[in-house]
Amino acid sequence: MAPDTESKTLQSAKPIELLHSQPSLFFANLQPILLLGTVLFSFKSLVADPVRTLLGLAPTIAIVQAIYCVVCLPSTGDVAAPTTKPGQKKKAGKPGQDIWAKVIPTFLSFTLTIVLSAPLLYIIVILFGAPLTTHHLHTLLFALHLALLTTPHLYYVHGLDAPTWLRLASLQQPIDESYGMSLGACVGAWVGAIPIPLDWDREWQKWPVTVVVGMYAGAVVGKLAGGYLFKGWKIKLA
Amino acid sequence: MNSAGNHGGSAPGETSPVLVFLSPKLQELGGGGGGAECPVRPREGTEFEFFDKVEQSDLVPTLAALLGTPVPRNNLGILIAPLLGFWSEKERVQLLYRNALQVMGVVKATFGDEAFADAERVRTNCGGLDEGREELACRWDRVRAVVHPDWDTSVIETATEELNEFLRAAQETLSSTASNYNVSRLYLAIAVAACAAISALVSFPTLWPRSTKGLLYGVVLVLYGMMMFASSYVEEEQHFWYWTTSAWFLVLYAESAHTDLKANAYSPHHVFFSAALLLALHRLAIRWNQTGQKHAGEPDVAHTFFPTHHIVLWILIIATYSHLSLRLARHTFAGILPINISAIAAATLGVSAFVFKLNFTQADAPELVQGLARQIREWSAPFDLVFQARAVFLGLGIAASLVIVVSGAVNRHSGPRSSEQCPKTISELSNADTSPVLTDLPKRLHNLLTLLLVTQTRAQNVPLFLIYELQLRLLAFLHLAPYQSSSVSSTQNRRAKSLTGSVSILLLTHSSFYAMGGSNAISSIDLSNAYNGVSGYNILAVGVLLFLSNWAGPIWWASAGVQLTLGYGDTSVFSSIFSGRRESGKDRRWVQDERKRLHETIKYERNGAANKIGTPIRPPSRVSPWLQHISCMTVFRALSLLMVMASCTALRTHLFIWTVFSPKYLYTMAWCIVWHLGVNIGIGGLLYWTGVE
Repeated sequence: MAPDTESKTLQSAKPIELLHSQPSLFFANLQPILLLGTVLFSFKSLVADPVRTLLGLAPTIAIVQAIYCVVCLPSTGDVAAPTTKPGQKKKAGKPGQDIWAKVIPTFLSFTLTIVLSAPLLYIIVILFGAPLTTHHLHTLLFALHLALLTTPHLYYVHGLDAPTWLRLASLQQPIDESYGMSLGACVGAWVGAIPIPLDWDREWQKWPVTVVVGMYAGAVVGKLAGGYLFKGWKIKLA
Repeated sequence: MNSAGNHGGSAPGETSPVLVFLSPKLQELGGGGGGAECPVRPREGTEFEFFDKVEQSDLVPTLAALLGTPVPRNNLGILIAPLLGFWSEKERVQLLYRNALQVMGVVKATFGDEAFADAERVRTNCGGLDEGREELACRWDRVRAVVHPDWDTSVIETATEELNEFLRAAQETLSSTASNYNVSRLYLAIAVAACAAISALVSFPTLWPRSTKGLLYGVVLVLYGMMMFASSYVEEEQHFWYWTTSAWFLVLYAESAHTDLKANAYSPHHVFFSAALLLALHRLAIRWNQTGQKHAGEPDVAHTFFPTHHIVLWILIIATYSHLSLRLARHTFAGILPINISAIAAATLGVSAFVFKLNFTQADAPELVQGLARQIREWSAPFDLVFQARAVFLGLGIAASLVIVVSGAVNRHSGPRSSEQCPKTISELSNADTSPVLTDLPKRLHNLLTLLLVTQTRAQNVPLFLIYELQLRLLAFLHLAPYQSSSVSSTQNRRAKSLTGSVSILLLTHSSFYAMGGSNAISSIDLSNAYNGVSGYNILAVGVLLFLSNWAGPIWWASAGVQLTLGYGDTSVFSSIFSGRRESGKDRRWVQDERKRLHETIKYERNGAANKIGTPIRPPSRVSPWLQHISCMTVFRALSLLMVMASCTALRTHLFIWTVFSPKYLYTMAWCIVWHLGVNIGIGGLLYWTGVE
């Protein structure tokens, strides 16, 4: 890596700020309520028939996330460092007033989410211990929801910039609201696996109910923590 | 027994055996030829209660009565009521009274004689009294009021009723006091364990700076401690380890992928695929054997896949043995024996071990062999299994002594740090190939140890050692990746790197124990390999072999921990596999690092107190990596011991105390004393010491 590109990407590794507008702040606060509410209201049907419930919820969650991206987040084209980043979509430097200029990045983000993130997360979830030979649809839909909660806003904000994604994967990116939501969803899903081995033999212990609930709870907690408490912090691993 | 064949649990299937009496004489009890009722459905709310339910100890007085013998002195059972139909009513009362007298003897021994002296007034209702001495005294008074030498047949019914009430109350009271604990000793032991845990923790921070990984390790410790108080999690402990290990691998990947170190020697692709492969191997290993109670009997690789694909199993076993033999030839005997002799020796060891495994599996689980390799088995038929096992052990022993003696003499100053000064006798002797294979005693012995453990493992679990081998190399690769390029590894870096390695070893140790079929139930102890080579009754030998076969995975990883600590890793070999070409510069990097470190040390010592170098260069850390590794493991062991002791003490009246918590305590003792003190510290320390001599 050439040193000047490296320093530039390091410099521009700043936490992502939300757009400063009324709808943006309003929706940023509404979004966790919507996410949690959706899960709480559909909990009973999630326990009864996870596949249909998750399938039915996916468009709703996708729409919520899409509105969040469009209304609240700065697109890749609006980030301060304007010059060439590899993979940047050729959007003009218009400061995100044009709603239509945001729809295409949103659409691309969701396409990437469904085509790229969901299968990858499906494999990762299986590697983490999800059933491989049974419950295919359950695991697939869980991975889809995980992808919808973790990746659209990251694609929207960071584009397909390889160094940035490498930093995201290696936890070097500073924490902010969107990154916090993604991390929170992953950690929440992981923590949600705790009740599964208990011998209470309840219906809600079956796969994937607890991990889905954990994922949503974690996403909301992560978003709030990332947006207010730990904003700008960097995880120090080494 | 439950559907998995386990009869050590407390589920209804395991605690509801049927008691059947067979005799033609029972026909006269059947209510005049009509027979007794045989219900098809269990009683409401139960799973297996079709007929009357009695205590197991009720068999004793019943048999005594049927055989005409007195009831044994310490019996706590009551005569089984339906069988009393053999006697006349008066005889029934006499039998019950005899039973009651015997039980009274036990009651008086427990509560003392004074409480049961003659009462002045007999109460009408004993139900409101406290259970225990008072209730029993009351009921005994009522019995004595009815049954006395002058009694007549008019009080038979009352007498029977009173006697039954008394017997039932006595049985219940005495069964619950059967476990009277010496609580003060329990607390004393907990205090000692707490001292051990506290001293381990206190010495920990002086060795470690606060770091994110330390925090994660702390989270693991706390979760484990809390888990010990829940019976479900003790029974399903494997899920905790699998769950934590997956997350840890993710953290390992995130750390290895760090891009802000100058010139990270490994490309992000290598790091990503290594981490993915590590995780995939882990996922395969955890489905190898299904353990624990909840999912016992569900499909897994060893019991579902292999019996139907035994050829695949034997291909994998042959691959494991071949890989081991190759490592024996290339690493263990390299430099000690000429190349052709070492090949022959390695082949001999490998083949004899394999033949033993084949014959043993044929004897132990023929459905896995199914007629394969008939010629080999016929040829080796004259040698019985005991002889074959002894031959393998003897071969291993000879090889180990040879390696120790010769390697110790030649390798006097050899270690990764100073092999530059070594007169290169090793590399001259090992003219096999040009790659600089690190040939030191711990590594040589590791291969012999692996062969020993493989001999002690069931056939289905043998391929797991291939998986572990690959995991170790991937781990070394990921573990060393971020530090590969740092020319001066600061103390902080070294310590953090050591903590990563120790935690990885800890997690993989426990995961491997459960992946090989171990669990926290006594019923999962595998005795099949405990008698290899033992023909008589030899407690010591059988005990050692039993430990080796059940803790094979952890012992292997303990030795692997020594390897990681000493900085071995074959990373050069691995990266050359990936990149397809020999990166000859990189595999000498540790040599360059060492030179630089020596250089800096000399400079520091020259400058003395006035340290004029810009960045503070400390002399090489005085705390050896081995001590850091061991202290990390000791903290875990001490804390887990403390937590298990605390949970056993707090839950000593719990329903599952004897089925779940005390087996866990027994296992914890084996882990702490035999594995940690014996293997980890004892043998591991010995290996490390020889490695840095």
